[in-house]
Amino acid sequence: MPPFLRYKDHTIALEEKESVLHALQRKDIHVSFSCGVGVCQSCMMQCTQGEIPRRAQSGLKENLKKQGYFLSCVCYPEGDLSICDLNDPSLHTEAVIEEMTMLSASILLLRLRPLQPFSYRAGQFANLGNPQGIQRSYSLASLPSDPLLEFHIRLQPQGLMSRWLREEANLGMTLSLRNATGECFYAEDEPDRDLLLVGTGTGLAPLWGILRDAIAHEHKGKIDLFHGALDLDGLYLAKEIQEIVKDRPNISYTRCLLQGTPTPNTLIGDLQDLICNQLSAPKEKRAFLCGDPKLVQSLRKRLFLKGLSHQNIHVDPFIPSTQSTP
Amino acid sequence: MASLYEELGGAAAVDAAVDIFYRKMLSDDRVSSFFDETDMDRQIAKQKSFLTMAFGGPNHYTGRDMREAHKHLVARGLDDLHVTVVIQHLGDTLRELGVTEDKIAKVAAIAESVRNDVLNR
Repeated sequence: MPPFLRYKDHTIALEEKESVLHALQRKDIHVSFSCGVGVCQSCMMQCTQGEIPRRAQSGLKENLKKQGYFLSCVCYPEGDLSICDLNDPSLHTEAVIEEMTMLSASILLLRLRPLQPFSYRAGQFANLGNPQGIQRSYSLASLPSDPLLEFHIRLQPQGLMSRWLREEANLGMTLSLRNATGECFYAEDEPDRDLLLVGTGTGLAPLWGILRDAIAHEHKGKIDLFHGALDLDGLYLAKEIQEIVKDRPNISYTRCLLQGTPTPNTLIGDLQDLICNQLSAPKEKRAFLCGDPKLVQSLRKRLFLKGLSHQNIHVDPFIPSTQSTP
Repeated sequence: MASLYEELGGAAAVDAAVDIFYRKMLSDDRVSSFFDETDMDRQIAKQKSFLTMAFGGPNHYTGRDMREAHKHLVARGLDDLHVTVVIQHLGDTLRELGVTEDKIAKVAAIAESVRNDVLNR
């Protein structure tokens, strides 16, 4: 007997090795999702009856686990499961668009005012939902002490949320906002730790938060920030970073392009090679790697092999949505 | 009388060993392809489970679990040589951490005891 999935009026016999998300889609039931691999939490639902496999709750906060929240894209139930959408008002909050500015040709600065207190740590990511129900996760670039939530969003040509942001979003509109999560955030109890911050493209966003968080806490250890991109359009926020770094000898800022002409401010070459070749004192370093998933995973492995402890390497791979305009 | 696991240092010993052990796996071309997983956190968690078991610690593996977990690797060519290499690296890891030879032998024996399950024999 296959396990049965109960959702609203539907009772669905799960096929072998089928996730909850897949089963719902197979029945043409529209539910939100994005990365498809259990990271971004866009597909979160709630279980009202039945046993949730551990993997389907991986990464969720304790208080959410206890309420039966789970991720449908990685939920492979062994027994019957009754599930429902999330509509608990205490889980979703809402935020109003207060600012939309282009930081470069394709990178949007989005600032939101949450309508309820929204707690997070600089560097984590939050899930935003637009009025059409499209949900995407974006890294927070702001500090909790900032009045507004700040996001840096690369507008993808075929992206559903990107299109909405480009063509329909306006100041004053409301987005849904879900709990911040993620392991990339500054640890206040280690002011002498050497930090390595590496971001590609808008992977800079969480690092911008972490960097300012470290400075706000008067961080004493070295901070080496590397920002890599495919082209100059991706190396945004340079002036602001240079400003914040200039009188702080413990902080270095290196920009890197894969190809092009080197300038005094921009190195050309492979970002990973650049970092690994000049890596010093690996054993006690803490690294935050954000952005392109392939680079992030590859660099994580290389840094690990060079001597960084696995517990001191934190990654935020920007896994692209599997949905896009047809 | 303390158990082997307690004598080795328990969970703290597993934590100290896992980085060293996993680095050895990734750096050895004979076995690295079996350990190379995109999600390093998940791979480290698996190695911690393995080390906990090999140190004589609490573990929830049954013989069937070991067979199921390694079936796809056996299909890819996992064989006796690979298992032997892994056990050697396990010993070298403990040596680096200053563990005495008699305890290393005990750990190796526990690892050996699951060889046939791992290889689905």
